[in-house]
Formats: sequence, structure tokens, C-alpha cells
Amino acid sequence: MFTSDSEVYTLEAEVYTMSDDFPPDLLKGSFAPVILSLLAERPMYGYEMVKLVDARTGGKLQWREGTLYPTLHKLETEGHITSEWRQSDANRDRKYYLITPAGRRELKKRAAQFRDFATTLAALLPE
Amino acid sequence: MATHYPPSFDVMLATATNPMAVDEEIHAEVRRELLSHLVDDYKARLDSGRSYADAEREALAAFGEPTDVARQLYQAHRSRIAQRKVARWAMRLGVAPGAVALLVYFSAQIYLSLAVLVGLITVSFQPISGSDARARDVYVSRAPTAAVARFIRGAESAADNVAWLRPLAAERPENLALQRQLALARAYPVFNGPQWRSNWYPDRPAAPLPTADELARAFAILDEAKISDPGNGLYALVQASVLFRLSVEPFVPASDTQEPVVEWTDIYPYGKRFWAPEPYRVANPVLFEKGLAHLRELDTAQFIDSGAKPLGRLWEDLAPSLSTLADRQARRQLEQRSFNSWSPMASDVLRGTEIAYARNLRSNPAQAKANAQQLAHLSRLISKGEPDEEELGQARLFYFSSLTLQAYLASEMKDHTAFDQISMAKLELDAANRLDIRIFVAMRKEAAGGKGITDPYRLDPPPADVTRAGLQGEYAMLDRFAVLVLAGTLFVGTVVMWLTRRDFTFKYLPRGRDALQLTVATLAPAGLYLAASYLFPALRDSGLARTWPRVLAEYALIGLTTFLLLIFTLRSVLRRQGKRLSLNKPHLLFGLLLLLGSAILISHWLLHPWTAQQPISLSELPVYLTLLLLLSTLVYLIWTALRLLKSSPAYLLIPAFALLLLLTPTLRLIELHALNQSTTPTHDLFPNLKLYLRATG
Repeated sequence: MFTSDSEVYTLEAEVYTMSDDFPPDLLKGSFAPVILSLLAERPMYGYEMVKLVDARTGGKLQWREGTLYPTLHKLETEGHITSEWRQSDANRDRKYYLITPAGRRELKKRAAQFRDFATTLAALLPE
Repeated sequence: MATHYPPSFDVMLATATNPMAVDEEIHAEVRRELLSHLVDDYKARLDSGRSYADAEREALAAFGEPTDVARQLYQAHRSRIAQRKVARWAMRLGVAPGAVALLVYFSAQIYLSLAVLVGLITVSFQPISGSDARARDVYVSRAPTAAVARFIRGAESAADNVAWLRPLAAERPENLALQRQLALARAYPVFNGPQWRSNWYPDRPAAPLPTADELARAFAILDEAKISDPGNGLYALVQASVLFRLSVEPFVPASDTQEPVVEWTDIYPYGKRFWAPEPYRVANPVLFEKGLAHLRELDTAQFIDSGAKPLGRLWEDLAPSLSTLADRQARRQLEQRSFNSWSPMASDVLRGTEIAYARNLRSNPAQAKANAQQLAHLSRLISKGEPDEEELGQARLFYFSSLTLQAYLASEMKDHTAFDQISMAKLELDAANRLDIRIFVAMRKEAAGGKGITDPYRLDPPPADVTRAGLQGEYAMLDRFAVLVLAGTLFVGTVVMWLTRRDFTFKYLPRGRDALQLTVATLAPAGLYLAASYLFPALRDSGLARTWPRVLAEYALIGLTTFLLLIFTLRSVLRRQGKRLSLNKPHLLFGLLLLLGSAILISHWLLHPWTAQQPISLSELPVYLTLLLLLSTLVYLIWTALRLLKSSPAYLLIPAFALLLLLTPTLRLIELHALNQSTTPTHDLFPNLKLYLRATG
């Protein structure tokens, strides 16, 4: 469960690098849904997630790569994702993360909240 | 990881993972993951054209401040580290006693099973033989009550017999049969033993009978002995036996249509068979009456000189006259001065007394009828398993008198139905005399089933209530065995790690989905079996009355459980190592071997059910093939385990336990069949069952 005092939130506040595009307080609460959203597509390892977010956002979201893993581990402890070691084509061991059914339910819930929040905020803010 | 990377990565990772160092496994796994990330980033930057120095510097910068990573990692793993620390200490404290207990438990089961196998190879099971002291001990140990135990023991002791009969005879002075039985018990210490039966006339004398003068000389010697040795009934006994032997002869019908006019019908067991009834009749009534007169002297005899020092001399004097009468066995015993030469005499005397008793009954049909009714009454009492001591004593008495009753009924009443009933009652009482009430009841049940009693000395089936209860306990243990396999593997494996200075590891413990699948794989076959047992009563039978469906179901249950346990455990371990269990050709071969071995084993048992009643013969080729296939499967399994589980040798115990699991029902089955066919195990092969019987007795 993601709650307001969840340790995941306190961790993800330090995940993003300082960026002129999005200040940290604006990004707060978005990290876990992003991870779940990525894993909903397919199992991924940490470095793969970093590069995928960087590519899809055009560099607007840049993670402090080392601090990604504490959040992943916490999500795993809470049962939203699971992990397993796999061997890549280059004969390299990588730890893949997989979303669980509980994680999918949480993603759906959090995505709806974010869309509702954005719509509500758009109605209040000037063009 | 084979990839080369800058040494600075190690320095950075040492800082970032430092707080996890208290838990070696978490520390190693986190470090492995972070290093994989750094190397990926480093290689990507090199591939994009960066220099080695730039790629190293940029990768470190992108990763972030290691102290921040360390703090956040510890925050993420803090509760897990604490829980594992507690669990590890609990395992350290609990594993050693648990492992010892399990090892003792398994060792005891293995010992029992091996004892059965060794026993089947080296021990020949034999039917009940009263001459076998070990057999008697077995029955005494199985006696349900102390009274029955004494009853069984008493069959070997003339003193006990007298002790039994004396109070009964004193209470019923009018009961001539009881008085006669007391006199016989006093006079014939060997009567109640089986010896006298086994050497009844191995071959019949063909020589002419002694002359009257010869007999007179011999009897004069005996009469002198009575004077010099007053109170000793030995001499009257010898006189009676000689006269009975001379006066009684087997009745041989002249033709098939001739009516059997008999005085007495003899039917007695020899080994596991019954000889055909042999009719006898009195050929010389004068000599017979003289014999009875000598026998009545026993009623006033004070003792029988069992030392019988004069007997040797007596026989030496008598031998020239009686040599034509003495059978081969008697002559041999005579030459040895053996007191056992009484045995043929005893049979003669008994036959004479029974004939006399039959004559008395013939003159008193009311008494014969009363005796028959009492015999039936006793049979009913004993069949209920609740006779008191006096009734047991009466049963013993009627064991003898029923011989007379059947002769009377056969020869005088021509009532074959009654004859059969009396014969059956005699056999039952015979068994009741020698065994115990429960076996007696089992015999009645078998007779009621229409099979008839062909061998009252068999314990087949043994008392159903006792064996079923005992075996239910054993099979409850088997049910728990599957669970113990996993726990035992964990415990023993942990001890191995502890002895090899390796700490307890959670590394290969299945968790999450793997744990769920493993649990389902272990419990699902048992659940299916339980469900099937509710649908098919044959699967519910237990005890020695086990059915083949149940046997096959047990094999299927344990085989399936073991197979799934191995597969899911292997898959779980391999997944942790980044490998995948795929049914490629080697594994397919393993599966085929397993299926083929099972098919041969099952077909062998279906096609050759007699092997269930005998120890498996080494000449059985299917058995060889089955063992070969099972061995091949085991070798392949161990080889696979060695190759894949080399990082955790303790898990090699899984196939070992699986093999033990598969062997256990086989050994139990052999044990049960051995028990089923055996009446007198001369080795103590079933200590658990024996103890159980003693406890319930």
C-alpha cells in the first residue's frame, strides 16, 4: 500500500536529479507509478529502466541511478514487484523485476489519481 | 562477473553497501545488482566513444553519492535484516536438536526396514510348533491377558495343568471326566506337549505279538517294582499302555461299503496339515479291560517318577518281550535310556482312556449330549473373547474330551452334521488352547466366510483390530513422512553447513510464488488421495487386509509427491541462480526413466501378485530391471544435482530422502506380507508391533 507516510515516498524524493524542467516537489509521488508502469510492459532490470525513462522523456526526467535500487527493493518488500536473476544474451547476469497482480492494481489506482489530479489542477491554473 | 571494470567501482560499492554487511547474503545480492548496473553504464559509455577515464568518471557521477545510496538501501532493507537476524539465531538454536531428532527417527525406521529385509533372507518362517520355545514365547507375549498367557504357558507344564485342574476337580467331584483329566494330567507330564503326537507309529509293526508268557513275565517285573517303589504310578502306566496297544487296533474297512464301526476316531495335526481321521476299535476286550484296571491305579498314585531311574532297567527287562511291539522310535529311545520313550506309551494310554470314555458316553447318551452342549457353549463364550479362567480350563478339558465326543457321534449317532460341528469345535478349541482368544475368533470368522479351516495354526489373518490399529499408526507416520522430507532436508542441510563453518543461508529457500507452488506440489497429491479415498472404499482399507488399489495409490501418491517436490525445488533454486529449468533432452530422459521404472514395477506387481506373498526372488528378471532403472534414475538425479547444486551441497540430501521415501512403502509392504504369512517369526522382526500388542494386551 502506498500511503502518505510510506517509506517509498521518502525514498523517491531523492531519486530525481535536480532539473530545471520539474522541481522535486512536483515530482513527488510519481516515481513508484512510473516504475510500475514500466514493469507493466515487460520485465526489466534497473539500468534498462533508467535508459528507457531517459529516452521517453527526452532527458527531462533524470534519475539518480544509485538511489533507484532502494526504491525497487522496497517495492519488492511490499509485494508490488518481484525479481529474478536471468542470463542475458551476452552471458551477463541481470536482476529482472516483474510486476505482481497487486502491483498492477496499485498502478491502476495511482494512474487514475494522477489523471484526476492533473485535470483538477488544470482547471485551477492559468493557461 | 567476468567483465572487467575499474577498481574504483569496488571502492564505491563498498561504501554503498556497507550497512548491509551484517547480512552476508543481502549484502552480496545488492552488491551484485549494483555492480551489474555500473558495468552496464560503463560499457555503454565506452561503446559511445568515451575514453576509459571519462566512462569511469561519468558512470560514478550518474550513480550518485554512495553514502546516500548506502543510507537509503539500509532504510529499505532495515526491517528485513532485523527479521532475518532473529530467524537466523532461531535456526542456529533449533536446528541441532531438530536434526538429531530427525536423524534418530529416520535411523530407527531404516533399521526396522533393513531388519525385515535381512529377516526375509535369513529367517525361515515356520508354523506354530509347541516344541519351539521361541514360538511359545511369541504367543505368550501376544496373549491379551495374563490368564491367557498362563494358559498358553501351562500347555508346556504338567505342574500347571495339575494346578489348573485340581481346584476344578475338587469343586466337582461328581464330574468323572474332570477327575479323569486330573489323573491324566498327574500321570502324563508329556501329554500336553506335542512330542507324543509327532511320533505316533511312524511305521506299524508287522512282527507277531508277544506270547502270553512273555507278557506275564514282563508284568511280573512291573508288579515287583510297584512293591519296591510304592506310590509311583509309573509302573501301572506302563502296564496300561502295553495292554492298550495290544488290545486296540486301527479299523480298516474291508470295502468301501462297509460301515465304519469304530470305538474312537483320531484326528490330529501334523505340521500344517491334518491327517485323515483314523478309526480305531477294541480288538481284545479282555486285555483292554485289564489295561483300564491298571490305569485306575493312577488315581491313587502319589507321583510319577519323572527321573525314572528304574525305568531303564525295566525296559531292558521288558525289551525282549516287547521288542516286537516297539516301533522304531521307541526302540531308539529305549536304547538311549531316554525317558521320552514314554511318548508312544502315552499315546497308547490316551487312546485307551478315550475309548473307555466313549464307551461310558455310549451308555449314557444324556451325558454325551450335555457334554456336546457345554462344548458348544464354551465355543460361543470363547468366540466372544470373554471367558473366565474356569471356562478356559473347561475349554482345555474339552479339547481332550471332544475327541471322544466326535467318535461317539460319528460311530453311534451317525450324525455327520454334529460330527462336523464337533470337529470344528475341536479345532477351534485346539487353537484356543495353543494361541489366544483373538486368533481363535479370527479362525471362526474365516470359517464363517465359507473357506473352512484348513490350517488352525496359521495366524492369517491375525487379529484384525490389533493389526489395523497398529498399521494405521504406521501409515499415519508415512503420511507425515512427505512433510518431514522437506523439513529434514532443511535441518540436516543446515547442520552440514554449520559443521562446514558455513552459516545458515536463506539463499535457496523458496519464497513467494516458488514457495506457493512447492507447497501445492507437495500437498496436492495427498489431497487427491484423500478425496479419492472418500470415493473409493478400497483405498480406505488399512491393516493387513490391504487392497491392491491402496498399494498402487500409495505408490502413485508418494511417487508424484516426490517428483513434484524435486522439480519445484530444482526450479526454485535454479531461478535464484539466474538459470531456468527446462525439459530439454536430459530432463526428458529422466522423466522417461522414471515413468518406465514405475510402469515396470506396477506391471510386475499386477502380473505377479504372488510376489506379494513371498519374498521377492532374485531370479525375477523384472525386479532386476526395475532396480536397474531406479538405480539409473538415482545416478542421473545425483549427477544433475551435483552439476546444478554444487554451490549448496546440503541440497543433495533431497534425492536421498526422496529415495528413502520411495523405499519406505515397499519395505513396509514386504514387512506386512511377511507378518501376514508368518505365524512364528523366529526373529524379533516386528518390535513395534509386538510392543503394541503387549501394550494393548
